Amino acid sequence: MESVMIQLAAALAGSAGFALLFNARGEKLVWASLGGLLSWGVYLLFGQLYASDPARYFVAALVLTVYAEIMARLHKAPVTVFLVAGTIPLIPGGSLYYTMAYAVAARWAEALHAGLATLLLAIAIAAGILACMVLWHIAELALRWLCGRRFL
Amino acid sequence: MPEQKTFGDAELCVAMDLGERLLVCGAEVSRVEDTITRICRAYGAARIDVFTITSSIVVTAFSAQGAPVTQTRRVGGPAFDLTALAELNALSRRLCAQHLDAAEVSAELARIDALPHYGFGQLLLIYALISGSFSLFFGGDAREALVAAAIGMLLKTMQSGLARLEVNPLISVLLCSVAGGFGAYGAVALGLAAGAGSISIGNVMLLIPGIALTNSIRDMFSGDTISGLLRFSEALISSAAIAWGFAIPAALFL
Repeated sequence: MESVMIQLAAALAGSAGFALLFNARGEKLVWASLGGLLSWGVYLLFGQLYASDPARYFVAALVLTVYAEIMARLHKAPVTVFLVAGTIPLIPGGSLYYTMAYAVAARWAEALHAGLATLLLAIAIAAGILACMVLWHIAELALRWLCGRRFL
Repeated sequence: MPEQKTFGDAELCVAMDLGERLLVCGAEVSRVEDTITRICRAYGAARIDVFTITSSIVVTAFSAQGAPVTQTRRVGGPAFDLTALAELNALSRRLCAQHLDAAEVSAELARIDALPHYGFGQLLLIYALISGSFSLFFGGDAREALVAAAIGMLLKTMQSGLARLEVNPLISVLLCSVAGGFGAYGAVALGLAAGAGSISIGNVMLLIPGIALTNSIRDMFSGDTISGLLRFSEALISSAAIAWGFAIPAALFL
């Protein structure tokens, strides 16, 4: 339990760090950083249901994108502002590094294994984001059609 | 509303100024293409063809009278700026809704360019925060996180120095990785912390192009295959340089 709290705190602080590095300010900085807490929280939570890492990354990215779409509308800013910082804990930077570290050490079997894992995680995140964006777009069109006026 | 001018070079230039800044600040390729198209249409262009990759924008637009205008931009490397991104987005919306003229938009762009950025001292703390948190995130203890934070500040100083010397970015990232590796193993040799691995991973996260890798896959999924492949290969080459950099001190200390 303690390690979970440390992970969540570190995910929040890391996301805040990148949000600052990318020159986010004011309220947007706060909400963008909280996205990192959310995405890692969802990842850990879905660990109770799924063992597969890519599936957990997919769901985490999907939930994060819903959050980012909502925040984007509340703050009248592009979705990217909230998405970039929020995906930071999910970004397979560590495993990309290990892939290359194995390759440099000529440990090819491990490099291949880690490389495929990295690719799969990056694909899972990208797919989660895109799936949410497509569903959101369809939902928006449907709502607009139902209400007979421009929604949001 | 004032009488609308016919679409010409000045209008296209404004559209490209805005699009170029969006791309540099971290907008997706598809958003940049969409924005340029909308702005040209708002200025009265009849047909607009935009082609954007991460390093270039090419636009040909026809005015209502059928006169074509073409402009090309070579776009420098991405430098995420979320504040400017939000401002540029708001400006393009306002431009399309209220038909601001080219001079007004240029004035707004100058204002956005002048928005504040974090200074060197603040960036030092930001680097320390990032490397310290990721050291903890990947299972390091408090002492390892503190060492990682200190090395993070060293890396920022090095990066700024190398950028001022206009060193090739790949060499710069390689040198920073070597320094990061020496810092981590040096701290362990001095007995400041237990594991070089948990220190290094915090510093690796500062340098590794993880966001670029994920965005490259996203670009390819959205149909911007060339942009995606460009970014993907850049990410691979850069991460290989980082791994080489950290491997050199590891080989010397083990």
